[in-house]
Amino acid sequence: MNAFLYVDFLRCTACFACETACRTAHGSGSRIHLAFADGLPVPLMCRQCENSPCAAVCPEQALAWDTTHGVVLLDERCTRCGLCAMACPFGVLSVHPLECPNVVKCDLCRDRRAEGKRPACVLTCPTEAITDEAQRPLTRRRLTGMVPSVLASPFSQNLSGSKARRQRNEAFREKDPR
Amino acid sequence: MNAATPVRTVCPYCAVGCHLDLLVENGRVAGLEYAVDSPVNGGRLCAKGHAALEMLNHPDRLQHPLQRSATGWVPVSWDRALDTAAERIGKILAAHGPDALAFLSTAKGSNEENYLVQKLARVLGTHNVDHCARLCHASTLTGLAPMLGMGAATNPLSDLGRSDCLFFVGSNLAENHPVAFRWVQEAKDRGARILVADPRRTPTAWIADLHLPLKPGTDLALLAAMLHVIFQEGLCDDAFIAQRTRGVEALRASVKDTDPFWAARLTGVPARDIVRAARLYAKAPRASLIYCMGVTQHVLGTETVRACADLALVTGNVGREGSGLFPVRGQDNVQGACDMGALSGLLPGYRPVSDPNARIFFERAWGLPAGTLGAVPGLTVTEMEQAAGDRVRGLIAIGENPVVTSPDSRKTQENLKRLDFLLVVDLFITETAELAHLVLPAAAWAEKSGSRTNTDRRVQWSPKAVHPPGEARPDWKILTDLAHRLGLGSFFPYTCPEDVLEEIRRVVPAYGGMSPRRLATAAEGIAWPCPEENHPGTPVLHEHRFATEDGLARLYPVVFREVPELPDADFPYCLTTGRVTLHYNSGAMTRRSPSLGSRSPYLFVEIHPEDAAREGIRHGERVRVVTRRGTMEARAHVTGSIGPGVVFAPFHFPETNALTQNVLDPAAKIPEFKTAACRLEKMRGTGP
Repeated sequence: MNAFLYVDFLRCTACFACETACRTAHGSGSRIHLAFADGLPVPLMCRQCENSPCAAVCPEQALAWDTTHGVVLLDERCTRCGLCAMACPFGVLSVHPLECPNVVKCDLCRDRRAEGKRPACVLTCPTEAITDEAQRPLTRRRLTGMVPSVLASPFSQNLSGSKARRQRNEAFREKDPR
Repeated sequence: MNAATPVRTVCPYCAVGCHLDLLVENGRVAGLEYAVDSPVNGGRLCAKGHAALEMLNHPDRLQHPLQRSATGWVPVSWDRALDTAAERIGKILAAHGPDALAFLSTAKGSNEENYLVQKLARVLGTHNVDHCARLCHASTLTGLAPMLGMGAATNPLSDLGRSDCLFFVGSNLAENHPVAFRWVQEAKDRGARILVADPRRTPTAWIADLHLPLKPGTDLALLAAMLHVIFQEGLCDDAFIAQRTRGVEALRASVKDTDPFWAARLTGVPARDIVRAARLYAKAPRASLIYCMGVTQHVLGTETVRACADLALVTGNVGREGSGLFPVRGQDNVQGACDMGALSGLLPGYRPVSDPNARIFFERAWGLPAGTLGAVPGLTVTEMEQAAGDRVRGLIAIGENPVVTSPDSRKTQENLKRLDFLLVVDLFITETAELAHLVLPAAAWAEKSGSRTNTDRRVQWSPKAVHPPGEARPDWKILTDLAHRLGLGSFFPYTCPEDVLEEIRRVVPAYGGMSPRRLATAAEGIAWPCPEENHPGTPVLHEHRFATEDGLARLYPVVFREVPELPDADFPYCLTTGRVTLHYNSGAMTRRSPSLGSRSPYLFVEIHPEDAAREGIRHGERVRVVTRRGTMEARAHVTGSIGPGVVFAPFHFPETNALTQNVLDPAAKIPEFKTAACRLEKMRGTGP
């Protein structure tokens, strides 16, 4: 898996499963935040930035980035000063001393991964809007966006190029009414 | 953590029937694990599924039977509670006869429990047994049964992923059945066209190729116009119509004048889009039609359901893999509760009470004297509530919350207060339980075993994982004990749910092959009809013949009528109701859940920006919504996702149904929940 979560906004249906899954997995506030832009949902969580402002600003070096784990929080160093939350350009870090002892930040389900399980939000998302395998959504985007859509059409499954195109065009030929 | 044993249960919320692995440690549920190997949901869960655990250890859970006294609720022993219940029911029986009793069964109970509720009512001598299917898919039964022979989904939900065109009419699958939406997304990835007819731009409509934002209550006009286009342009499947259906001429004649321009005036959808939708649906090699409350909860519910089926039949989209008709059910066991005959007019296995052979069959099977079962259907949910305190003197409500769910709820509440005896069996003190004389604590889904039937007729066994809290008991046990106290012990010789399932197998042919052992080991359950032990089940219905007498489907003519209450000068907006993803039906479970409640804590109404500007209402302000029946206060959500002139309110909060109208579909007796004329009043202050 990648050391970050890949989000395909167009697939999100705002079902809030990721938020409740995150809450269940961590036993405290959700690390994923479903934000809405123009009424459409945008799931936001730690982007695991390589050149991370949160790590740069941390006075105790409690945050550090590496290729396999992303931005890792070293609990024992953290003083809950909250500078990282202020520095985060996505606004997805927060400090809630009453609700959660540490910085509320996506840790890519460190505990679950140690047991060989995938992150809770990835497993639970009904439409695969969030995934830890960037390859699949990238392939899908390439198919739907760059390759002519006829090749991604259901009618082309058992047909080759031109015949598929002709059949599909017949199936969906549209004229103006009247 | 090593001691935790996973127990695979079926999620208690919607009718998709997802698997939920509970981790049980020292007799308590310690957490959940995703059922990654489940053929149903593959580990996926929605927000409500995650929050299901909060219901098990909730501090509000009822732990002891409670009896009303002058000073409030008094905890009583089970013996005393059941004796009281039996005595009060006995008194009503002696004074007014069995038809003064009414039973509200529950789609949240297992098949076994629903079977017992209706058996208890019928052994006592009344058909007054009904459940909330009356408020959601009653019109599916009355609409589809005479056409196809069965009022159930024709294909498994996974077939949505194999369709080339998905047409959603009044269904918001993405919000209400989020896990099932994965198959829609799968179809979309393969290039399928998605059509959505809904007054609101719902999350389902976000991925649509074509959204038809029609006015509430005009679905039938849209469907009639699509049928018109299909006949006009010769897009119908003539071979299928000739070989497998009857009545095409009457249908063709009825849609002769319903052209897209006529429909455009009524629905507000451009004629061009109606034509496009008809062509896309009819030309797709495999098309599915998914409909839900937007179609059924109308005075025209039965007719609109039939128009949906007409559309599927004339295009030959029934009885094949990947193309079907999906009435998507809302509750985990609403299909099963209907199968078990928890309906006023139908005995188990959909045998009408008016059929003398069916009555004789059940009188023999249950060992009743001939003539015990009456030929006249009993009262439906709304009729019971209208007759409460009048003709109906005693009501037994199991897992139902009519004060929130029934239309014109203030009236319902007044009527329930006039009952001689109201017995409520539930998990919490619901709004209805507050009016009860006696409340019995029930077990939740993971605290009892039983079989449940999902929307695609898949019967799954959900085993008991933990003990109920305090003295709470499963419904089947409460019903059996109550029957014994009423002197009906010989009819209720059950010691476990498996005993009841064995009896169901004998009297409901579709469940004949579902032995408890077979169900417990079937990974994805068994789809009925499954008449024999070695029958594999029937995921796709009507493949070779329809379940009608001659095996042919009937096409019904389409006749459009306006909704009963159109907006006027005093009430200029159309109020429509529906669901939101974080709440569930009466909200008794979800409004108490911390993780769901914190995200959606208050009642809101969606208002179009133009209407909001006219009324001087800004986003987030408190507004008062007024109809001829009542008033409610809510927070305004100003959004362009709803059409002008339409106001939307979720029905999970007790206030909403004080506004809806109790006008019924004559055949299905389903109320008109989806339209009501209303006005908006701006309030001072911003409120909570």
